[in-house]
Amino acid sequence: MLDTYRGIVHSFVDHIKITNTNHPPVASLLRYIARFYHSGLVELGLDVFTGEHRPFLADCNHLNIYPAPETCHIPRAETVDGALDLFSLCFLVIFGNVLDFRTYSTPDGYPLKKENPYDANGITVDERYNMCTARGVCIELLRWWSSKYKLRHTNVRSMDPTSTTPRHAKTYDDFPIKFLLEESVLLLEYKIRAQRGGREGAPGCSISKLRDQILNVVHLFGEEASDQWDGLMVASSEFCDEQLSIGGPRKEYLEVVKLHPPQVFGKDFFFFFFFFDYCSILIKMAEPRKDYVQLGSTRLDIAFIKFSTKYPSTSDHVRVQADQYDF
Amino acid sequence: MGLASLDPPPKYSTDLLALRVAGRGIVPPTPDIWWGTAATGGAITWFHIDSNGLGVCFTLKCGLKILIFIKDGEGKFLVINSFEDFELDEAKGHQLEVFLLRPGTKAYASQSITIYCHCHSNLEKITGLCTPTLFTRLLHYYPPSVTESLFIAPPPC
Repeated sequence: MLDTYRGIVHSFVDHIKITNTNHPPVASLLRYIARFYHSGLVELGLDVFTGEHRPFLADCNHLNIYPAPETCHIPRAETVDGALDLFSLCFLVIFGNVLDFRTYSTPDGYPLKKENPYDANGITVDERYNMCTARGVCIELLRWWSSKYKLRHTNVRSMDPTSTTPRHAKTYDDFPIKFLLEESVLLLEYKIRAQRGGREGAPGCSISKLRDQILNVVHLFGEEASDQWDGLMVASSEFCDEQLSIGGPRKEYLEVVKLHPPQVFGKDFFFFFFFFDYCSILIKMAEPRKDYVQLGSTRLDIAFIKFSTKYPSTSDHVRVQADQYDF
Repeated sequence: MGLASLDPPPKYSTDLLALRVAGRGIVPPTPDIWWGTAATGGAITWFHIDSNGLGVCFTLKCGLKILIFIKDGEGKFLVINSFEDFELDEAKGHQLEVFLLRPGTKAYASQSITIYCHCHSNLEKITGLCTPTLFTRLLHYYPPSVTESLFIAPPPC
């Protein structure tokens, strides 16, 4: 998923320079994958199964988890690879509208040129709801990860070039947020540099429009995150190649640290004990939230939905194609 | 570059599986994840990246196919200014890898982070027949465990 993320960012920023096609339904597929990961990790607690997939647990399978080929598609959240895959997928979904070409086009498919205070664009109202829901699901996925793990980076580069210790180790309590903020800054910096080189990305997507769309999503994470994003953005123009690498720090410098005990997560908790002849497994199940739409709605989403309700004819017009994928 | 079996890797199509698990019977958008092309001998595409992070799988039916991959210094295009001054028909200092695919060979390239071009042999010269070179193409997500940008499954002996 990390490679998928890199491919999508390159396609978005460099577009016809490097590709000759676009596949909008990919956004829907990514949202389904987010829901799938959420089912496995948060609702079923698959992460507590360590070691290899055990296909011989059929008779013990009260939760219908094993034997299930699905389980090997769930990222191993306790590993660096799995965590980065999870964060990458969450970035693609949380910033899904930012990376969607239709965000910068009219319902008829032409590049947006006028001021657009209600963020009316080529994405249908129905799909907008789906995007909000999926964003909420991913925010909860990241919260879930942060409630169980921390990430340790052993080769952090000092922001101060005169520092006597240019590299140091650091453990991040909330690495997923840091990942989202840094990657969104890189996305904008990439756009700035590409546009400077005359490389056109998504039609109608200017630097200022991209910045507005990114900030709209960043505001979901609060004032502190917005301030942090501003600081990163100021520094990004001076980033060296190492700091401009998409997809987080190099894996060899990262380590996932498990929290003991994990933080409380979710509303209600149930504990199931399974005793097998060779192991015992504790599964923690969290009651899934019901308010994902609310959790994942940005200011522009709310403005657009109100606008569509006020002018239903516009809403009908926006609905170019009914979203056949209900997520 | 390692070799893989002819069978697709077990985590090959997470997107379709996710649809099955969470999609409540929704039909997969097959035009966007699975399609086939046919090309005559000598056909060529210039360097490009497939969009939206979709991976690609080639299955060569007949003729020969040459794949040329471009990578940056890291082996993938990771740094955001990798494409600076980059022209699609020139590698400009990037790493090049060339693969010759024979009938029955499958080649999997991961999610479009490498740029590649493909061209088809002129069968008339090689075999004396003017038969189209056929290949099918599959676009999918690749499993997290597959880290190589390309791996090739040779034709069965």
